[in-house]
Amino acid sequence: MLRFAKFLKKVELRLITYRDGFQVSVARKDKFSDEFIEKSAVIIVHPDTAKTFGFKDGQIVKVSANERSANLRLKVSEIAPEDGALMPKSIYSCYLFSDKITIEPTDGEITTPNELLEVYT
Amino acid sequence: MWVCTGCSCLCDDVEIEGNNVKHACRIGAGIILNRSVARAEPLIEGRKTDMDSAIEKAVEILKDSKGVAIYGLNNSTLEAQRIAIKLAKKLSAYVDNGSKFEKLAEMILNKEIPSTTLENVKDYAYVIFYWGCDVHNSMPRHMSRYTYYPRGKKRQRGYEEDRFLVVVDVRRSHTAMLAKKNAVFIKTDDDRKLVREFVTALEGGIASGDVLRVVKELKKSDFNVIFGGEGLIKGLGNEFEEFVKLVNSVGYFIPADYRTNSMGFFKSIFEAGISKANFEDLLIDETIDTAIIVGDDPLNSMPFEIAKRLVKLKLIVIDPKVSFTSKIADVVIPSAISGVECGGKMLRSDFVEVELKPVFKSEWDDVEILKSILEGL
Repeated sequence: MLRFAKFLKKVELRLITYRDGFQVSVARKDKFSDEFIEKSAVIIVHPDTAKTFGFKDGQIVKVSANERSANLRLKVSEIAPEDGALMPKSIYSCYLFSDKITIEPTDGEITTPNELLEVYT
Repeated sequence: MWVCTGCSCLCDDVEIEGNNVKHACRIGAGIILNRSVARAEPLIEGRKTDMDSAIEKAVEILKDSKGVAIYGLNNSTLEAQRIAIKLAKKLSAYVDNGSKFEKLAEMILNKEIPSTTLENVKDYAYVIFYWGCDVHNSMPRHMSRYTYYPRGKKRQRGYEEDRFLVVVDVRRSHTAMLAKKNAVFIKTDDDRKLVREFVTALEGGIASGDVLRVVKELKKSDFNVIFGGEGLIKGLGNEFEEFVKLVNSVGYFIPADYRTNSMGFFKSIFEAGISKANFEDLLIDETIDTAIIVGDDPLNSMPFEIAKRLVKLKLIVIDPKVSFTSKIADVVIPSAISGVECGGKMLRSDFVEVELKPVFKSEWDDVEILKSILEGL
C-alpha cells in the first residue's frame, strides 16, 4: 500500500458480520445496557488495514452505508478480513447492512440503540 | 444437572449451585445469572397492562388481520412450536424461524445426506471440518464437549494426534485460530469452487496443496464429518448437489446452526406438512399486515431496509426479555425462558431430542400463551 493512503479521510471497505459470543451474552442480558453498546457498537479492521489507513485501536469512527451512519468504536484484530471490516451481528450491523461501508474518523459520541430506534420509528 | 438453552448444543452437564454455574459457557451461564434482568412486561401500545388483557388484545388484532406471519420460535420448545403451527393453520398464517438451514435439515430428515450424532463424532471422528461457521463464538462448547478436543472411544490419544481439524472461512476467525498442529485453515471466497476442488481431489484429480493434504488425511479414517454453518449455505447459494457428493465421500454432515431449537422447528413443520416461509420476502412483498414474533428480535437481526417495514405491521411480541422489536410492538406478552423457567423438549443440532430441566417455574410460558391465543380465536 502507498504511504499517502494514511491521509485518506474516508475508507471504503466491504462489510462482513459475525456472531460474537461475548456480544450474544450481553444481548441476552439487556439490549439497552452500556455493556451491549460496548460489545455491539464496534467495527473491527485487520492490523494491516489499520496500519495502511492510520486507524488506531479504540478510536471512534463514523461508519456510513446507504445514506445512513453511526458512530462506532474501532477495534484492530486479525479476526477481520484483510480486505474488509467486521461487525458483530446486532442492531448496529443491521442498521448499516450493506456490501460496502465507509469509515472516517469522528469526534462524536458512540451512537446508542435508542438513537437507532428513532430512525426505525 | 441443568440443560443449557444458550445454543443448539443443549449441554446437559451444567450444575447450578447458587450463583455458581459450573461447566456452562459464557452464554449459558449468563442466561441463568441474568434471568431477572430486563424482563418484559405485558404492554398494549406501550402502556402497562395485565397478561389477560394483552392476550385478549392479541386475539383481537389477529381476528382483524388479513395476513399473518409467525416468526422466531427457535428458543421455544417442541411443544410450543407445535401449538404455533396449529395457530398458523387456524389463521392460514406463514411461519419462519429465520434460519437458512431448511434444505439441509430436510435432506437429513429424508436421509438424502448422511448425518450422525455428536456422541459418535466424539467417539469416532478423525477429520472434522468447520465450514463457514465460527463455533468458538456461536456454540462455545461445541469443540470442547463434542468434537475436536475430547477423547472418545476410538480417539484416545487427544486432538493433537487423533483428530485432524479443517476450518474453512472467508476470514481467520477465532475457530480458525485454533487450527494449529494436525490442522489446516483454508481461506476461501468461493465455497462452490472449493467443494468442486475437494470432490475432484477425492476422485484422484488435481487440487491445491491444502486440499490434497486434507484428502490424504480423510483417507486415513472412515469416520469424518463436516459441520456447516451459515457461511457455507450462503457460499453454496442453494446449490447442494456437489456438496452432497462431497459429504458422501467424506462421511457425515451435521448443521452448525446455533439457533437453540432450529432443528426442532424444521422437524415440527415437516411433520405438520407445512413449508417454511421467508419472513423477509413477506415484508418486502407486503403480503402480511400482522406478525407474531416469538422469542426473536428481528430489529437486531434483519437488514434495516427490511426491518423498518415491521413498523407498518401490527406486531405481537412474545418474549421473556425487553427487545428492540418489543419497543415497536402493539402488544408485548412476557414469557418464560425455555429450559430455565419452563420445561419441554428441544432438538439438538444433530436432531437428538433433549428433555429440558427447568430450575424455576413461571406461570406463563410460550405453550400457555400460544394456547390462550388459539383458544381466544
